[in-house]
This record gives sequence, structure tokens and C-alpha cells, in this order.
Amino acid sequence: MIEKRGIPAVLLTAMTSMALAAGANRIRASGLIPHPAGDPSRAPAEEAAWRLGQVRGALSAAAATIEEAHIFADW
Amino acid sequence: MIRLVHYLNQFFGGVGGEDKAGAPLQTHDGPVGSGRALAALVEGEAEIVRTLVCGDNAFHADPAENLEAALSAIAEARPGLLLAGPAFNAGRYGLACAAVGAGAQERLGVPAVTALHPGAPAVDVYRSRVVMVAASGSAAGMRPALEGMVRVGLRLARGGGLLPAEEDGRIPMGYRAARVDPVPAAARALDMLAAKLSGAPYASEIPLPPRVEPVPPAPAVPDLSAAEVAIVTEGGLVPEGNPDRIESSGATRWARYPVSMIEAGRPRFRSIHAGYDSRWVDADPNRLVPVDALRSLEAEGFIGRLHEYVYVTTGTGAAVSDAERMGAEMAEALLADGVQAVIATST
Repeated sequence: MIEKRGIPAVLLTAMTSMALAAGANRIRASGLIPHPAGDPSRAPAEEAAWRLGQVRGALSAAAATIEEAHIFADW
Repeated sequence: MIRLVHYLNQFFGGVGGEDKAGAPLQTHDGPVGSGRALAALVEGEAEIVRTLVCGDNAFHADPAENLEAALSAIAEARPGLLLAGPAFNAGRYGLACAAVGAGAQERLGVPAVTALHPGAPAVDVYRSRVVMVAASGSAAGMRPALEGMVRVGLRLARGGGLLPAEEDGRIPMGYRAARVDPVPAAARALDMLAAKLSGAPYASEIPLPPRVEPVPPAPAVPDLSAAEVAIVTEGGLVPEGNPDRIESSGATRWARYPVSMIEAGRPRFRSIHAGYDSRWVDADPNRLVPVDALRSLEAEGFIGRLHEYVYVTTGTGAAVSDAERMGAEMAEALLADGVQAVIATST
């Protein structure tokens, strides 16, 4: 609904196929189901750096022109 | 003998075509138009004691008033069953059939059945409120649609229940009925996996919903370094005590919380979402709402500004209609505050 009103919204999620089925347009594969913006297996400083990369990537997806729903991979 | 009331539009009621779509609601005692075929089908078991016929445009010129009038005419006939349509893929007619059927069921306690094509506009609006037999897209499928309505309708009128949608030839209403399966879930899952691996056909017990109507993508943010960016999540992150009483599942409510509150860690934030293990998010909310990363990107000048609120609801078990309403309400607030991009997170 947010995209419908003209604001690009990037969905950070591990469940990309579900996101696509639910109608999200900008989907950024990220993390795991219980922590899409986290990776508790890393040390705190590394996790923060990883998250920064994920969010930077997601923002680039907001700045990307797309014609239809697209999954932006995190690799 | 079951007393049956039948609802039709001007075309199937024999009044006329599109030029008669303005014909007001009329009442006949006995079968009319396509109701004659229905009367033959139910002979000996039910009798059409009344037929209501209303023009497609006339009904929608004042749907509330026409619904009231139709319900009074139905109540007067003291029926044991209301059948509406079949309306196939028709827009106006389908909506009228579904509205009259839902009204009879909910307000008069009269079992009601209509028949619609699964893609008809009325299906999304009324599927949970009125029993719908699946019909073809056009009147060529009149016979099976009538037979389906009669089969399900007579059973309901006699106090019987619904069978699973597929067995009844109905459009699913979105409810689940519990039953005991002789084969345990784990064995069924392994059978499915084996079938999938060997390329054999199998049917999921939890089918993905059909893809929703696509929304055209929003235009790209022209300049991230000048954009205000907001965080939205369905992960159920709320301040201790859940002051806005956002539901753990099947949410109807959303709230927004100051980013500064999350950064301060007072009050503590926790997830009340019933659909995932939230221990990692409870330990560090940034794993759900990446406030720290966006602050760094703000300081670095990669984005203009982090919006002062985080928008929160719970996604699990939410009705699509509630999710759409909440999304529209959030979008309204985001637009009012000049937000130009959103990072949304989903668990």
C-alpha cells in the first residue's frame, strides 16, 4: 500500500517467495526469518557492519527504477 | 416442502437486457425467468414461493435501501432457503446476489447460497459471509451452477453443514474446519517430499494464496542523500507493556514509536508477534528495525535523514483487508510527514 501511494518501500526479509506472493515490489533478501536485519552468529561489531551493508543495499533498491516486482539478492 | 425464495436481475428475471437495468425491485409469487429451470430441479423437495427481480443499475443506485426492501420481501415469504443467481462473472449482479445472500443469512437467519465465477468482483468482498458455489464465467454454465446451488442449499435448509469447499464445489470461505486424519502430519509431509523429489504430483495442505493484484512499482528515490527514510515493520516490536495493545496475531491495530525511544532502550522494546521466535530481536531490536545502520548512513550523508518514528504492526494471521487498511493508513501518515523511502522488515 505504501508503494501504491508512490513511496518506494524495500522489504527486508528472508522469505522472499512469500513476499513476492504477497505483492511486495522491492524485495531484498536478508538475514533469517526471526531476524531479517540481524546475524547473531557474528560478533557484535561484525554484525553491525553486516547490517550496514544490508541496509545500504536495500536503500539502493529504493533508488532503483523497476518495471515489476524484483528480488534484490544479498550476494 | 422447503419454502424457497429466488433472487434474480432484470436479465435472468425476464424483464429485459441492459436497457432495463434501471428496473426497480419487483416481487413475484412463484418462479420467474431462469427460476423455472430451478423449480424443475427442486420439484418435490422445495417450492419457489417468491422471486425478487431487480435491475443491475437500480440495485446499486441505492444498495442500502434496496437491500432493506429485498430483506423485507424475503422475510414476508418465511423461506427456509434463499438462492441468489447464478451470477457467473457479472459485477453488479454478483454484488447484489452476494449482498442479499449475506443479508438473509446474517439478519434473517435464512440459509443462503449464490453461485459466482471465482474471479467475480463480489467474491473478494463477500466470500467469508455467504456460501458461493463455483460457477463458470458465463450463462453457458447455468445447469451445473443451479445444480450446485440446489445440492448445497437443500442440505443447509435441512440443517446439514458444509463439506470442504472442494467437495461441495464451493469457493473457499477462508475458514478452516478441524478433522482427524488417520495419517500423522509427519508421514504426510514425508510422502509429499518423496513425491516432490521424484517429480510426482502432490498437493500442499497449506497452499500459498494466489498472487494479489500487482501494484505498479513506485518511482525510484531521485536522491537518497536528500531523502527522509522511515522504518516500517510487521515484526510486532512494541514498548514493554504493549501500550497500544497491538494483537500478537490477526492484527487490526498499528502504532508508531519514536526511534529515539528504541535507541535509548527505555522503555525496553520486545516483540509480541506470535509467529516467530523473538529472542534475538528482544536482545537487540536493531535486528528487526535497523536503526543503528540508518543512523550511520545518516551521519555519513548516504541518506538525508532518518524519520523520527518506527511504524509497527503484527503480520502473522492478519486479514488481507486489515493489512491493506493499515498499510493505507501508514502510507497516509508517511506522506503527511514527507517520507520519501521506506525500509520495511518482515519476519
